[in-house]
Amino acid sequence: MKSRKFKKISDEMIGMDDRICSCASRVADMILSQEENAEDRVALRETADSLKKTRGRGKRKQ
Amino acid sequence: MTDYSLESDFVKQLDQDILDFVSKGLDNQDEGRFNALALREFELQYQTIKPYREYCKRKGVSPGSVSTWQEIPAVPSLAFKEFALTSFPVERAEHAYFTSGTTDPRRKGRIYRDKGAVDLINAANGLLTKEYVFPGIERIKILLMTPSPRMAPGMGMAIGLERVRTEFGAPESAYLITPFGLNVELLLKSLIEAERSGEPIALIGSSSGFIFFFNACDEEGIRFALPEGSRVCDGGGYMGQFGECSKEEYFALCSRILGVEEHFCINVLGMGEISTNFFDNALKDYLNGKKSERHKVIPPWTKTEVVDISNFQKLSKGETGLLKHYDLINRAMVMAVQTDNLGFETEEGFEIIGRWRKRAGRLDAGEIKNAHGGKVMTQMMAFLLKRNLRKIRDIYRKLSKA
Repeated sequence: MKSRKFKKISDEMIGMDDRICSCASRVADMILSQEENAEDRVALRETADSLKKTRGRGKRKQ
Repeated sequence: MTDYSLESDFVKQLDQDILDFVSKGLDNQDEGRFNALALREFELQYQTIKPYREYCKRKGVSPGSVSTWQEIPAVPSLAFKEFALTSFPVERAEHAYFTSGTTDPRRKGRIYRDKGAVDLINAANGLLTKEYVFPGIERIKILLMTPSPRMAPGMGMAIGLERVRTEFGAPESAYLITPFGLNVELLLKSLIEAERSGEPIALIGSSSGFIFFFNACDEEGIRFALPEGSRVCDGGGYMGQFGECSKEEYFALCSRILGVEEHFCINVLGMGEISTNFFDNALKDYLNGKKSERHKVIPPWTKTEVVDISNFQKLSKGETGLLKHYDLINRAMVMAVQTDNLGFETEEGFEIIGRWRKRAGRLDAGEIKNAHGGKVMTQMMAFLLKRNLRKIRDIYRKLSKA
């Protein structure tokens, strides 16, 4: 829908707000635009490996 | 002539009275007091917000002509993008942030709150967060699926969740969104640690971020079994950036990927234009042994109506229409807001099911009904998503070889 500039508040504005939620969209954009730096995360392998070795199901609190 | 400045007795007393009203808790049913406060707030906003005053005048409404909150004109949410709707000089703002337009970044909503209004929002949302997300919990490790306010100072969710972190978070709580994107390492490490220690954990933040992570895990068959009491609180809506995901699918993912059952999943409706957050009743009712349909709770300092899309008249319970909110905590802006959100009134609250977009009078409710969000994915988003998922997959392949 093409944007339209309003000069005064009007009931015509109802149904024209095309934003759903900016925060969630921005978080999604941040996630999607980041992975160029994934190589910086080589450390993840070592961390994850060590965690995996000691990983158990754990106790579940009731 | 009445003084409506922030230092005025009018505003100071109004703020104090609203705080007192909030402090009476969630069982407060004093309708008369709500009405009186609403009328005083309308007087303030009518006198101090010129575009709103002109809108009211065109409708033939003024503080002297109304006697009930239902008569107070609700400003369309889009107006926050076009005008600075504040009841005080914006240079006095303690919070200043923007809601962005998804199709036109130049059209951003401008949200300002002065210190008194920040105190109101902290009191109201603090009470609600305690009641509906952390009942019976003093502090818990919180993983926040959002950037910190330092990284994103103009993002309402970041500002709001920083308050949640300081009020309810254990010291090891952390933000998951960094300048490099989602901190997968921290997230994985924290989930595995929670599994191992048996200490419950809370994941709070953007619906889209959770769905992204769940999809990546699902694709690789990665599962966690988080300790009982762990919870997921999502908000911000979901635009389908990472593919379709209905409400039912979302709960199924929480259960399958994290081991967190549906009643420990709380959805929050928060909007920059409205100060109060609307929380699901699910966890509180479950813990109280109360069986009820999932809905958004309407706290005593707010009212929510559902109105017809064509004539904006109030609809009956169960009928789908546009959500209109009256929020006393919106003292710094406009109390009555007409949103484009589609929903319906339930026995004890309301539910949101999507958005209405006015396209030659067409109602899109049918397309998005029961969805956790929209179903839009651009080619660019699809490309980026595929690339991101592949990288997470690679990380997990390395993990599984260990």
